[in-house]
Amino acid sequence: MITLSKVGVSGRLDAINLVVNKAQHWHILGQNGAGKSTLLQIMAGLALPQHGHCLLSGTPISDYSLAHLARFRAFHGQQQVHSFAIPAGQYIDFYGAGKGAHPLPAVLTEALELKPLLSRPVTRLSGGEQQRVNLARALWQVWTAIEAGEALLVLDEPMQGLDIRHQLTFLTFLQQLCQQGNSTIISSHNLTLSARFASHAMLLNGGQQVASGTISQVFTAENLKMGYGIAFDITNNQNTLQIHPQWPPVLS
Amino acid sequence: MKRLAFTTYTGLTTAGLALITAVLLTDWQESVASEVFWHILWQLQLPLVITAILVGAVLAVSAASLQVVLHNPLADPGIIGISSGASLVAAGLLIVQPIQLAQGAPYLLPLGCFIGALLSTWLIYLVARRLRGAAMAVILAGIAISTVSGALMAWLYVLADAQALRNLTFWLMGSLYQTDWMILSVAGPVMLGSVVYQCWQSRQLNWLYGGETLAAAAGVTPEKLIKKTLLASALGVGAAVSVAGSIAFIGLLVPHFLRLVIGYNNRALLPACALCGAVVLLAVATLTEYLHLITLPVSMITATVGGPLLLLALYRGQWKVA
Repeated sequence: MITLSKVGVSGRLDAINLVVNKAQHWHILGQNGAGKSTLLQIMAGLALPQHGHCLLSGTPISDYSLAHLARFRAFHGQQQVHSFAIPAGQYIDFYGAGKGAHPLPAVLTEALELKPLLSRPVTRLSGGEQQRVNLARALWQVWTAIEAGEALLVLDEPMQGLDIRHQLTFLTFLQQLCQQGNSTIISSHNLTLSARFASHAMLLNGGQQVASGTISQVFTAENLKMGYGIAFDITNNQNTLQIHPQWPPVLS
Repeated sequence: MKRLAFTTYTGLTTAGLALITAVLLTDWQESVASEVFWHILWQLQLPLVITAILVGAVLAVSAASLQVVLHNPLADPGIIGISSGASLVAAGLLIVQPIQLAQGAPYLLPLGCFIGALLSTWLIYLVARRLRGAAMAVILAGIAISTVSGALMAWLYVLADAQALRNLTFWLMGSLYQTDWMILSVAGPVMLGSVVYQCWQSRQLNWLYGGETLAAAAGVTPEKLIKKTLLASALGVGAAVSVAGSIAFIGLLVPHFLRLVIGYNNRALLPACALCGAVVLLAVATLTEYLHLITLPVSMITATVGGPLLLLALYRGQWKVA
């Protein structure tokens, strides 16, 4: 679905190659400032690479109009400070292109537990609640494509601010969406959760690609040490990877 | 929500029609000769009504969309410096050449104001573009321009004679009685176009509530949308200022009041703002007509009545949300 070849942005990203196929669930990992957000914006068609190119179904993504992309590509970005006390439900609806009075589907409201939030103004929600509303907004915009299994979901740190239960329910939900044929690319800071839910991962460090591929290819002690600068213990417990950083670092 | 918006539209339209009739029939009872009546109607009251409707509508709609575009509920055409540029030019013209202005070239003042409004908007846009950040930069640049033109006007005050000062003070506080068909035929379509354009793109304005990136993700180029909205409101407000002087408070009062009533959806809000702004100025026109207070500045009335109303609305709104 998306092919990146030698994508670079000076000072941010360097020669990134990546192929994301339909129905795959990618997690982009790396330290703060590793270039995750820039990469996601390029893959969402919201920023242009300075070098290399980003192809969407074989066509440069810059050839698609924003209005066309908006029909099947969901994007969730970093938090926006709201200046108007819009009720959350109305706020989500503004982005539901052309769906008018249709109510939010139950799967979506349940996955993000939106019910108690919809009537409250966005300015009065906590950080995690705002995050859930924003995720719902992103998915609702392309809901028709999601139902058809043709959506591309690009979510920048969707788990930020969510409590552990909401992280688990949301990642399970994303996994289901991928099984229906949708492609998902998110950035993540939780290695254990990523190892459990993603189908593929990419590890960045300082704009460089450290590793990318399936979970077992990426989540090796060697790769993680290169990506994060500290050592990790990786154990396989009933087919679930347990990843623990060695802390404090052992001096060698 | 739909029904509420519908009720609001109906109420505002009815009020507007009633006020129009009231203004047009001001002199009906005085049993004047019908020819005189028609002359007054055609030459004085009809332009007055049209001015009130268009100026009110364009001020309220522009303020509402500026507030969304600049992510600032306090934004109004004054804050981004559109009115201050126009006021400065008006002050210059009124004080430097008061006599020639009154006779030879009656259209110099409106034309100058329009140019002043566009110049200051352009200047603000240039500064804001250099500062890169969209919303905050526009507001800061607007405040800077307003301050500079305020200072220049203070200098003009020092230089002016008493009569010129009086003219200027009245102009600065707004008046609906400075138009004729000639001015309206030029400024009218500009104001109407500005209102229609802003209402037409109101769905895209909704996408700006979540910031520029989300607007882009929703399918519109945010820079273009912001630029077009700024341009449309600058043209509309520039025309309004050149027709009626600077009228305070409508831009702040009307959108906030209506957001408490019909919510934040700009597709419903902007048309309602246009109606409500028109109704407010029609009410002012009716008041001045019936009380024969033509010299009463419009801003005085809008601020005197509107201030307490806005306070009340905010107070009750707080209760509702809490």
